[in-house]
Amino acid sequence: MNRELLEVKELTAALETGEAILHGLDLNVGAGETHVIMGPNGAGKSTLANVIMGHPNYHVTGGSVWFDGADITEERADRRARRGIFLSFQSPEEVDGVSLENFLKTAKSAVTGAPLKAFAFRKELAAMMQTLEMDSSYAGRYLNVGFSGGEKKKSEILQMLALNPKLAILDETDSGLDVDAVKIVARGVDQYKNDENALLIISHSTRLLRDLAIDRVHILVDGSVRETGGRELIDEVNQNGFARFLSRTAPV
Amino acid sequence: MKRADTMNLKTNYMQVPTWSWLKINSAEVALGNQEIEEQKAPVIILPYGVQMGPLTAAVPQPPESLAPTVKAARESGAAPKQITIPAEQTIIEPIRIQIDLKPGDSLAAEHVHIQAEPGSSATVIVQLTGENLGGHCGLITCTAEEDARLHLIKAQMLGAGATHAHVILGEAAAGADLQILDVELGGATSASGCNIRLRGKESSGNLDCLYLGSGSTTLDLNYRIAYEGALTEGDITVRGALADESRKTLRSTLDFITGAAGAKGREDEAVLALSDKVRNLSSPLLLCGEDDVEGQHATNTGRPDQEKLFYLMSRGLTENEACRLIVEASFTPILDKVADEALRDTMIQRIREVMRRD
Amino acid sequence: MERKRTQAEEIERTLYDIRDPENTLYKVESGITEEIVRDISAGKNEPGWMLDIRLDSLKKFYELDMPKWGPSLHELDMSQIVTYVRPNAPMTDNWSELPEDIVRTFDRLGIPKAEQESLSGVGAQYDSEVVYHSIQDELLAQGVVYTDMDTAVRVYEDLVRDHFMKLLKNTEHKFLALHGAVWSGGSFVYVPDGVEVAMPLQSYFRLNAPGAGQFEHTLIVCGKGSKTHFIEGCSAPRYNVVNLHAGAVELYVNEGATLRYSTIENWSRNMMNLNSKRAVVEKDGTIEWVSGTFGSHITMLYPMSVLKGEGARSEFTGVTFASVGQELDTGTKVTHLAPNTSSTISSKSISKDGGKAIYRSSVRIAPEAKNSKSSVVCESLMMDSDSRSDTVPVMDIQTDDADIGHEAKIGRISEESIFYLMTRGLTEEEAKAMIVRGFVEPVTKELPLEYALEMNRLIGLELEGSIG
Repeated sequence: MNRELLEVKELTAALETGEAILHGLDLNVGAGETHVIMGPNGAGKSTLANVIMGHPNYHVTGGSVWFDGADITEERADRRARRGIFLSFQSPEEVDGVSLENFLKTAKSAVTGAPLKAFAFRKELAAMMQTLEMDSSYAGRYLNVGFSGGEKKKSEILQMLALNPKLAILDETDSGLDVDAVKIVARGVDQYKNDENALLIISHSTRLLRDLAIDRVHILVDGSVRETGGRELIDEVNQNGFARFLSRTAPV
Repeated sequence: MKRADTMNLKTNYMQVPTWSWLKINSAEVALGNQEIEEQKAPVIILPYGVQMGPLTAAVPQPPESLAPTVKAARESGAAPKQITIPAEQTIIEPIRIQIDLKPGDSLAAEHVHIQAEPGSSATVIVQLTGENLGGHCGLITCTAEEDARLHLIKAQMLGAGATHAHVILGEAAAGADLQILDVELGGATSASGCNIRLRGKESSGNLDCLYLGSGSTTLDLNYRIAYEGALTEGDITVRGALADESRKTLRSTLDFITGAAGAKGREDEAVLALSDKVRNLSSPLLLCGEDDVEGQHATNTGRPDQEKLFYLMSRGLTENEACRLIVEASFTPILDKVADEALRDTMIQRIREVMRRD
Repeated sequence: MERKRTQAEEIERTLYDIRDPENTLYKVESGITEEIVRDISAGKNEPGWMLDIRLDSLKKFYELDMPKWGPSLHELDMSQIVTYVRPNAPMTDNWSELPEDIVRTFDRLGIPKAEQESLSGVGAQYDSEVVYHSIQDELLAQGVVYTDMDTAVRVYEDLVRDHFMKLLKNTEHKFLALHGAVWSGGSFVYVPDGVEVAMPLQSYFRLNAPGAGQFEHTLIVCGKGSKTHFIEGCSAPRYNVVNLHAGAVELYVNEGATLRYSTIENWSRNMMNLNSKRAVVEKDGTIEWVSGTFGSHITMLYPMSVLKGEGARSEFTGVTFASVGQELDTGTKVTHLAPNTSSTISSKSISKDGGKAIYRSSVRIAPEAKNSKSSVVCESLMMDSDSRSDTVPVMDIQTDDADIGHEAKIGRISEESIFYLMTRGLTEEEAKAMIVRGFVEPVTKELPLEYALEMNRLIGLELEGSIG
């Protein structure tokens, strides 16, 4: 039995305005596993990802989030990052004046708690950029500034490879990408994944999921998990949509 | 035309003064004195449901920059009038204030106050036409109480020799909305000012301006939005065109007061210069004492785009017609806010008259 | 290994707040009288025409009023400021000949190292005289003149006489008049036609005696088609008595020449920095201003470009960081006087802990400046609600044939950006520091490495590998 990396227990969370988004959500992800979260718009998928990462705009009103045996429910985002949680954002921020390379060096140093050998890192980075078919000039460009949608997503995956987290959460990483770009992202994910770490993929589409080994699929509706199953759920949703899962009344 | 005794009104001060050689720290207007003839009151047409009487409400105070005009208007005019829009009433038909100046008249001055009670909604149209010896000095104050909506349009279409000084002071309480549109199409010397205080939480206020300078018009504009309450929002949008030897000075100020957390403001000016003798001064001020705000401004000036002109001319329009079209296109977003069709048509006519310089 | 500090901290002052014991040979009595001015001139063995300029300027100083706009200068009592201080060391070409404590001070500020490594020549000003000057042989062979103003007045008399106080006139404002009367020290640079000065020339000021004012005059004349980069850096220790800096910089950029003038001003917290800088640019010439303002109690600084010749260009890149007890009123002025001229202005400011940053500018387009372009972009970062940031730009356009654009933005660091960086492991403070560093990057990247590093140190950021 794999050790549990992520344990979400009866999590309820709301926006700053008080509006509740997550209603008693349970989720367990073990080391070496790949989980998929699917659901209709407004189900709370991105909210879940952001709450796990510790976004200050969401308040946990009940339940808890545990990571690798520690209760992280109240911890700040950077603390969680240093524990080994990574979130690939749906719309990554642009940070002017900071080059991609220098940013990654700083982040890597922060997450590992040790200084980096500049030359070795540069070589590593170049190799990763090649895998993701990113032109070497991107290393010198300001973080995400002026990047196209696809380039921004690649930048997120590059960061994932460089930081090598224990748990990587991908929030709609394949949305808005063309066929080739999705293949490249898949390649990156494949390179990252091993028996020790875990993946939590939020996705609408199947292109990314098609060639991955998936352990569990969770259907999220109205802020809670309606059903958990295997790969067959993905095919079912692609055929029939989410209608079957919406029929139950939403929890209060 | 022989002028009456004049008083030199120095007004429209820059809120943060700068180098004096730029000659932008203030404006001067020569206005006539009161004594010659009796003051003629403005014609006010009230729709059903709106009351008018003497001034009883507390009136918005001017910022120092506009105080001289306010003082002159109050001292030279007859007793101020107050128009009250009763609470929760939505008045569709606009309230009209018409000031028509006749050549022999002395200084025409007035102060009208509009009190929009909570939840009310109304439109006020102030129209200025004609031309007189003494000029015009006017003051409109308006208070929009909680959740009230007030739309004020001032159309200045005075004759080519008129002098005009004017101030609009607006205050918005929580949840209220103030839309002010200042259209300056005439006059020889004009000094107009407008100050909006967004005092209540989540109040909003927009200040739009459309101006057209022609002949040797000198236009001086002083606009300000003060963000005092939290989550207040307001934009200043100015569209203008300068022809012949006209001159224009614009000071537009977005003033974020400490405490206005979550406030958002934008200032945007676009000027079309139509002759090489025009003089165009702009000072978009951005003043900030609160970190949790989003403030920006943008100013663009230049000639009508050569590519556009060529395109229109290649479809048969003369250069003048093409220019006119481009100017009108620039004005359209603001003209569309003039709810009164007749007034909008009058304005478009006026613009066309001025631009027809063949 | 211990991780380096990364906070958007105060400007690091400790390194700079070193006081030397009063190392002064000669001190003029407080206050400004005609006797004092004659004294200064005689001490330098100046020609008669320079004394005339001084006396005329003194007259104007008495006639002119204090400025009617900008920060209040009420803390300035001219009778208390000792205008002229000559340190206890004659000028030398050899670093080892300088008095030990002066060398020690400059050592601590990293000057000799800098000189050897990347810079062509260095003039270091200690109090009111230029104590050390060196210029590489290469430059001498090319005919480049880089010397102190006192020497230049005597040795290059005609050249100086043709240019001195012709661009900045003593009638313009009170502190320029004061400058004209009591100016002392500064750099003189002459670059002959067609010469490209390969590495930057740098000069370093320092103000040591309590209550001393600094009135250095920098005069640079660039020959046609030449290329030069001049770097000016300033620092002064803390004192109770208000210190005054009313220097002047006059730059003559001749046809087709390019001059880059970089400054990092890091005066200490009691300094009143009222500097005047102006460049006149002839046909197809270019002036580039790079300006970082971090120190002083009050600064009024508006480098000005006069685009006199057709096709002349001006580029201004500036950063101002106002913190506790500071009112920094900075900006720039550009006047377009000829056709096809262009100017760009990029200004960024940060306000923190009650500091007040004011951006003040003027862009003037004369009727003759047909087909000219100007673009201004200002961004202000507010780090809290105790501080202030005001933007006061003016555009005066007197022709239709000009393309003028101006944009400004104000706000705080976006929370989304902070969160994004935190999700990559940076603490909140580290994230803010990184964003602030990114914010000032446009200025950092225009400076030679040495100064870029100093600039980042000034902001208290010590991220490894943060430049380049």
